[in-house]
Amino acid sequence: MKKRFQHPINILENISGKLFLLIIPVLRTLIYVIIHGELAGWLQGAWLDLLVVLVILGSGVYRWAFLRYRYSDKGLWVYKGILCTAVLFLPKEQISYLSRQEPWYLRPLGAVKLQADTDGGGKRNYDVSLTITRKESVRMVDTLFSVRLEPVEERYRAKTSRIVLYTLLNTNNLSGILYFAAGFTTAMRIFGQQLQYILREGVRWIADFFSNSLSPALAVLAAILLLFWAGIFLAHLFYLLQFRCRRSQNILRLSCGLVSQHHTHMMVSRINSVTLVESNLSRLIGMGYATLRCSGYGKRDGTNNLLVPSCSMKELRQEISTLLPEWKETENQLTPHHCIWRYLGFPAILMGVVTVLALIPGLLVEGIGATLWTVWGLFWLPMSWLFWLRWRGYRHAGIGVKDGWVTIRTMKGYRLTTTLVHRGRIVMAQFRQSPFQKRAGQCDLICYIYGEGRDRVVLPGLTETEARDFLLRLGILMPEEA
Amino acid sequence: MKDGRSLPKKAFVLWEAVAFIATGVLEGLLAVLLHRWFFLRLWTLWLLGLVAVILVFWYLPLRYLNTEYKLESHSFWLCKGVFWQKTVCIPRNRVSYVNTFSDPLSRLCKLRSIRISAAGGSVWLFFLSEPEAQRILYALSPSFEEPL
Repeated sequence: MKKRFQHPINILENISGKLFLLIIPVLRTLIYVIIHGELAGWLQGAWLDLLVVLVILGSGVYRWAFLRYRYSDKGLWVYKGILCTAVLFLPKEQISYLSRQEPWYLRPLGAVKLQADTDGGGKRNYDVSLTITRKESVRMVDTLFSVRLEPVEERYRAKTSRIVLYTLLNTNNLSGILYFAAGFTTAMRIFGQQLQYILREGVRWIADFFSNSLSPALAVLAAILLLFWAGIFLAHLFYLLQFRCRRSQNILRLSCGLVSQHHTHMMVSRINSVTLVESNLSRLIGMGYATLRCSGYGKRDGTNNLLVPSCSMKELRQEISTLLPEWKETENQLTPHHCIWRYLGFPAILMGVVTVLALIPGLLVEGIGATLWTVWGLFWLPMSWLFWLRWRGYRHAGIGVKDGWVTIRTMKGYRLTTTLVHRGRIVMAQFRQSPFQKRAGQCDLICYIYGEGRDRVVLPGLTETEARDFLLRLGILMPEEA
Repeated sequence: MKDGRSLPKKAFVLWEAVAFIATGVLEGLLAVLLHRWFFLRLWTLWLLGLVAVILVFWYLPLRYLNTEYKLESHSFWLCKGVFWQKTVCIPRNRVSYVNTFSDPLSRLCKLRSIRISAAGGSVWLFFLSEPEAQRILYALSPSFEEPL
């Protein structure tokens, strides 16, 4: 196969980072035409503007012209540069992730972004990222992953209500702030003063509108937070709508997106782990979701490594066993012992301290009883919620193995997680002991899972001898090491 | 390293040449930029000269002598470093992909640089002879099928 060029739209993508250089012709136009009103002077120096535009375009064309690719059933080759050249070859069997992203602005042009990733390479960047025609990308995925040759075996399509629920429960303000900060920085660079004016006027309007009922500062803060949340919620929602999953032999294909479309292909044999998550909010309505770790997936998009969005835990298990039947979940064979304090200590102490703090002034000072008990109640409500969560975490924690498939149940933050991983994908196991645990013969077991970044699962409060026996049975520890 | 291979002598010559050229260009630039400040220019040029001498006569020869590699049936070994010596072993079945790089100077000397990427990191081998680079490339990535 001949070496091919990327889609010509790639020239514009290449120059997008250099558009700030246009400030030179814009400033010159401003000075000559608007301030001095000298059209002749501006025309005389037009060569400078042309030169700047040519330099910007030239750099884009250079990068487009000297990046070519070819592919065959053996792998994908990328050729870069003319003076300093580089040849990158991704063997077919090493490619774990291929994705075709069709952003809204590329769809009318029939172009897509194709990303390929292997277990090697950077943590944040894809090994290969190309902008090519849609037809070509489909052909490439077919060739590299032999998608057409393999019959579709299992399908799963998420209901819109579940996507909405998942997005609702998993949208937080922090990601919203980060998302909008990035957006605003870019917008400020382009629009500058005008955007600042619009923002200032918007803030003033909100402050005026709420001035009768709320403090203006609080009203503005609440409005900003709500705006961030709504923005990120909508962005996530549009990203994940029409989420569907298809399994054909060794390929798992995920598609999503309403305006921009994303098609992801993954080698099942290269999936590192699958995790079932029950967050503190989703737990209330008996829902959970599943994520998976595979090199490349979720690296620079908004999918959060999603495999199955919100549904009941029973349905979740059913879907996973349908899509990935070889991934076997098993019951806990080793659970934390005599370490309930480790889980419940923090909320219990906090509840005790708050009660004492409420009792002392309540007994000493007259007339503040009602207010004090209201404050006490307000503290107790989240604390008892935390207590209940930790209790569930304690009951949930454990580890088990069946036919080489390890199931690790633990608590990450306030989420209950069930991680399924093959024994061969656990690259390192570590025992961690605090001085108290050493005395009691206990330890925390930390399992490091194979992948690009650091991925580890911590299981606290196991009995040390039992944990060693378990790792021995798993084949991670050798008899002489145990 | 036992049975390890060294880099070709041409690679060492190229390192030295690049160091000479880079120092010359830098000295020239500094001389032009600092022409108003006589003493500053003098001291900067002397200091840069000293760094260049250390680089050319001590660091690069040691680096060249300490760099060795070995391609075994199951793994690839690389030993390198001047102040801290590192030995890297990458099992062959864990190699994700191999890149090749070249610039006009190394093409003139028929040399190639390669980068071997595996999960968790990658190693560089600068300025290998073309047949040697090809041998390693084909051994670690058998379906490469492209002549260098």
